[in-house]
Amino acid sequence: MSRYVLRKLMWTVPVLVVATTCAFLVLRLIPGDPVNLMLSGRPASERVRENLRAKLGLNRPLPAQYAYFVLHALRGDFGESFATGQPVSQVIAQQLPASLQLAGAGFIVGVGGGLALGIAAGLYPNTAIDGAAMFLALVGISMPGYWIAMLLIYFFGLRLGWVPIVGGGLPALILPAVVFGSYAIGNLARLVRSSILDVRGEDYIRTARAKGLMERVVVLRHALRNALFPVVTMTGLLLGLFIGGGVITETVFARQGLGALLVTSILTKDYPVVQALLLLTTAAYVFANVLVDVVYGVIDPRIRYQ
Amino acid sequence: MTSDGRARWSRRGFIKGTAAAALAAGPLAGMLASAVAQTSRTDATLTWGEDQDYATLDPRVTQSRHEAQAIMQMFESLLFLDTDGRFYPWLAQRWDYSKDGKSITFALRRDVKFHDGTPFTAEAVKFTFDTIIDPKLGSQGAIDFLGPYKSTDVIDPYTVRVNWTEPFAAALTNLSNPWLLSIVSPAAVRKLGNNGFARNPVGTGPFKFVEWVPRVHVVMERNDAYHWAPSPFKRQGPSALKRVVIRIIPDDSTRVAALDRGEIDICDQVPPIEVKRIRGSQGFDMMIGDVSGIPLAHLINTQLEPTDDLRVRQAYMYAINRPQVVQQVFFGVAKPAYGPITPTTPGYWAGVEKLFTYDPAKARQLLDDAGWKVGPGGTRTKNGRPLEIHFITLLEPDLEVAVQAAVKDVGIKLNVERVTKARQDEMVMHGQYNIGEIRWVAVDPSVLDIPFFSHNVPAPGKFKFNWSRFGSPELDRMLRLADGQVDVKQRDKTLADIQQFVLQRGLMFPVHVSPQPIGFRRAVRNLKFAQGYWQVLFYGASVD
Repeated sequence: MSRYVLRKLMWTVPVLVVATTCAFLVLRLIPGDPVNLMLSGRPASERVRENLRAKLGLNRPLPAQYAYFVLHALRGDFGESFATGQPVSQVIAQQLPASLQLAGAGFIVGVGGGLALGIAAGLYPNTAIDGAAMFLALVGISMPGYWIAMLLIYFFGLRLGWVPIVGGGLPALILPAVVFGSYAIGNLARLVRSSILDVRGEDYIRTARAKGLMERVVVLRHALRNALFPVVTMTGLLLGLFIGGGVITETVFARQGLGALLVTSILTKDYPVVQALLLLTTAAYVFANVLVDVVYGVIDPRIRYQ
Repeated sequence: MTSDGRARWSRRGFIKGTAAAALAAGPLAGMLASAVAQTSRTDATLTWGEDQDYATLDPRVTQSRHEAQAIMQMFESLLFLDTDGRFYPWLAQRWDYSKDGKSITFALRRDVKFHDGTPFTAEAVKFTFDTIIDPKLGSQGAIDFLGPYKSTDVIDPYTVRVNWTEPFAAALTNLSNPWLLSIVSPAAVRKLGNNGFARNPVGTGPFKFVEWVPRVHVVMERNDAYHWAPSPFKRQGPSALKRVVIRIIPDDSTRVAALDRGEIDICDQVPPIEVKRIRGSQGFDMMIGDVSGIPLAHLINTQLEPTDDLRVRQAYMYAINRPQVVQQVFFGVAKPAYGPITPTTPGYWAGVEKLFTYDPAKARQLLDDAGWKVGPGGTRTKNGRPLEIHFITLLEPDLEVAVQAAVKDVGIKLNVERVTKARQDEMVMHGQYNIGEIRWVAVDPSVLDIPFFSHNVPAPGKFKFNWSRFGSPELDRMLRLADGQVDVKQRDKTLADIQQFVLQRGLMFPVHVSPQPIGFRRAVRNLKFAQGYWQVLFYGASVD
């Protein structure tokens, strides 16, 4: 098991190297001069542009820039943000807590809500409960996040005044968490429902009932455990999404976060920040995959890694 | 000039005899004003909802009018240029142009301290300007505002002379800019370094920096030692506001909702469609700035078919009913613009209002004359080719769609392409467009150099703003002349010639004055637009 994990983790190294190299090149190949974008359309003189190019190291040839990037990245130094002049690690560290908060809260809402709706729908198929749960799931999947966000802000922030719109603290996390989790709610609810319907007809469920087990035990221990399998896969994918997928939620609720940082940095071609963030996102995806593999082994005794 | 006890200069008369009047300015005006507005709360926090995130708070580095909103509450410049177009003493009590127009000598206030407790002296002025031109700083805005800057001489601790290599007509306007050429604390810069200073700014202004959380807010608090406000404020001494918070809320709807809910006191850039509602709701009001500088304008490429033909360019300009189009898109929030600089900009020539007013018959005639005949579907053709004009839009796609409909009437097919900034830059540098849009907030008419000087024609690898790609020695000569004309009357005459010239050659079609619609809670009083009508100064404000 541990050897398997170790091997998986070692594979992350080439993945990260390829990802960062691609990021480095693609950023520089797509049109747009970082200095122009930084000046955001301002008619600056050639002197300003020259100074900025020199300051940002953009006047060096591309291979030299790449060598510089790799040598420093190996030491964990991703340079300084073009926009703010701060070390990239610091820029990311400032935004990370808010992202983790949102990801954590969104994960809880998404997985919790998805499981609850899915189980309810799976246990009472073709009833009003099922209908309501699947309708909510449909909304979660198909409505764009910003639309859900605007409706929530309007009703719960403005009309009812239950939660602040842009304030800080835990209450201000509720709406963003719901918006962020809504996609996961929808996806998981459908998946769990069909998994439960699948396993309900299995022999071992009938056996469990025949043994005289309580319905609660049948559902939670026997049905759900097997139904969880596809859920774990899905959750792993969502975990990756949670790292950089907060753009809309972060923007609409005026929150800090890596998603919005990534988008702004791409649009302004803030190379150092984008490179570091892509490295981070790639690492998060790879790590989430390894984690999923490990969890498979835990919930399913049939799976053992050599 | 000082009949009401307040020193006032029209910018037309600033060259001679400012000294005596300046002496009478500060204290007297202060005593008159201080009695006025001391009844409101002194513990209030004022929260401004800002639509864009910040990258720096160093006035020497920034180029962003959004960052300016925070910077100008904490920093001050040598002179105060009010929205009435007059200069008032600020950190400098008086100033004198040298005879050759290449130097200005400033007598500085002696009682000003930076937020870090160090005194404001001539050395700080020299330090600020000298560091701005240091390439290592990477100045994005201030360095251009210094113009042909040569040096600063410290004559004594409170007298300083700024020198240029040639006469610089924009000098006073630029030096009065409260967010680009405002004075920084040399001690703080030396202690923190340039990057550190950008995150812990130290100036002399009425508010002191407290905290900046990127993407969330900038917090400032009252400078209790402050007693050197310029006379146009109806106030002296420390501000009535205890704290000022700039809350970053990029999404328009969220920002307006936050104002409705009372989570912020002021909302910048209210979407035009919300303006009427906010103005009509209880407890809220709007103020709308008619921004100075270059209006939202179409620059027409003179080097690419079919707009290389003057008649086509002029027909385009006659075909658009500006008041109607602007009303459709802005619901009365923006005013139509007729000239390359807006009416609130010094040097504005009102003659532009009679040029190229809506005249579809004339537009059709011009196109007929140019050989473009009405073809099937209403689009004109010539030698089998349709009259298609390629329009790239980044700033205001909604407006351009309205324009598209307007010119269709005279047989022009306007292909409006929505582009990203990066794509726009590429197309501009390679000349692959007929029309593009610009607008620029500026206080000095020298802003006209940007779209019209021949050396600003874009080329591959060289992103510039002369998008009409029109280079003429005559226009260059007029622009250069205006840049060096320290005498305002003479300069205004040259500027009038320039404004007429660029319209008649069909280089630019001005569309509307940029509006800055600001919504606020009625409890907030005495908000004041800064020069240029974009940012708002909080110093004189109070909350009931």
